[in-house]
Amino acid sequence: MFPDEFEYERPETVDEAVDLLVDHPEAEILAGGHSLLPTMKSGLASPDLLVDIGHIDAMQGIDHADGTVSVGALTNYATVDDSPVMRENVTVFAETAHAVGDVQVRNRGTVGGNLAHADPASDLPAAALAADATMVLQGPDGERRVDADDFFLGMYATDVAEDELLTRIEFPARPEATGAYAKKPSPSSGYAMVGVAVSMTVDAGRVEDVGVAANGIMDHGVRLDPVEDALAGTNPDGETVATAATNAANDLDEMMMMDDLQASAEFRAQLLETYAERAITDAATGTGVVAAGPS
Amino acid sequence: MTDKREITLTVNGTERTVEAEPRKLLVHAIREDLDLTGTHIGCDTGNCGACTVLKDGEPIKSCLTFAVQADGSEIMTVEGMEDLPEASGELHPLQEGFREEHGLQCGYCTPGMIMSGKALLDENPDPEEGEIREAISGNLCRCTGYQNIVKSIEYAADELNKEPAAADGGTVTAEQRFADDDFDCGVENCCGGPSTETPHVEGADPQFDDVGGDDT
Repeated sequence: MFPDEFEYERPETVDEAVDLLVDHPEAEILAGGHSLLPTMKSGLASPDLLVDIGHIDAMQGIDHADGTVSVGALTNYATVDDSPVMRENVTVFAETAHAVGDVQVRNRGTVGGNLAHADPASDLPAAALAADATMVLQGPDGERRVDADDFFLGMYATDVAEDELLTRIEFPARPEATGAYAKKPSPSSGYAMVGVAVSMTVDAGRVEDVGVAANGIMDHGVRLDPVEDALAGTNPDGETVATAATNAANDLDEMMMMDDLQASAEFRAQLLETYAERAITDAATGTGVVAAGPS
Repeated sequence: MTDKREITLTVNGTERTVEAEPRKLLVHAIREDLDLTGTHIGCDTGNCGACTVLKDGEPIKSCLTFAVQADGSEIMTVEGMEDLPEASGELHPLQEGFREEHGLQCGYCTPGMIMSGKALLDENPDPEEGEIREAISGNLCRCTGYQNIVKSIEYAADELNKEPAAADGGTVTAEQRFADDDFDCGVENCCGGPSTETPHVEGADPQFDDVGGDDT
């Protein structure tokens, strides 16, 4: 499986990359390539030009300052997974990064590539929603900030314009919050048939702040508002969590749910409740355990 | 054809340059341009891990990376294992482990397994079984059922943890064992052992014949 021929550019700075995107709006951006290469090798994509942003050092790494954790878009999953700053302040995102793919994939795949690609079965969109992430986009007119809630528009569709680059993702630092991600992986690909991310702060036995979001169920990552509402202010014991999770699909249009050979929409809706309950329970108990594998 | 680019890779400690089209995958550059065919192409979709190499010390799938993306990096393939100091000029303890513990049947996944095992042991010299299984979760084997692969990596961990004792006279490596012996089997680049009074005759004992053809 050889990809078709393409022209190749390797900018060293964000500005150079944006200039290339302005001149070539049809170009594809190459970061870790772990979503792009499979589509190119299988002939699903044949871009004429790849802009390889992999050598832009300014888009690498994790910074923590003034209550904000900023993650460069080129930071790979393993770096996020292993980062004490992320584990402490954005637990849900670190837990979810650990659930992506396998060791080799986590060493090459980038968080920015994952979010900008917006695969509905990918893991990170739910974590970005649950952690109240802000996407920072750089275009010819400068920088623009988009809340995660406004970022994911559909299957492989985001708010990033053709001449824009996702340069970093910012999170409010929440050292007091616990986080968890629970997913039902596809037995063949490992992608999420359903995955639920939860970030939760409990104060004096009451849920003070909670974010709950899911992948795999709709054509893009979605926040599960009815579950968040049901949990707010409660003591998150087993019964409360189980009841809250029954609301998981309340706001979701069943006609628009993902429905394919792997899992029907009806089955995914069932999985959604189960995995919402597991993720919330893990977050409530502070274990943050990823429930991977058949169960 | 799009213009070729010159790519510089440090492969198993040696700087190499490759002229490659941007679309050339790293695994093809390694196998075809550098003639290092120990790295295998399995599923070609990023699932099976047969193409695993270390890039700057981290295991990656070389079929999911363009060679140009690896420009300037250090690559280690399975061929580099026997040049490591732990190998004492022979098989690396990981390779020895796969032989001792029957960690392979067809052998196709083995180079990738060894590179994932190497990355694990570099970071965690004394892994639990669960940690070994996690480390090789990106490498598929369709023969062994994984049990013996896990044992092979455990064997290597034990051997590597033992080796520092050699200086104290605790564990003796093969190289040390034969060091005082002027044994030479007569073959060019004699490996130094196993020592025997009787000169080795090709075919007399198939166990000592060069089986060849094994990339691992």
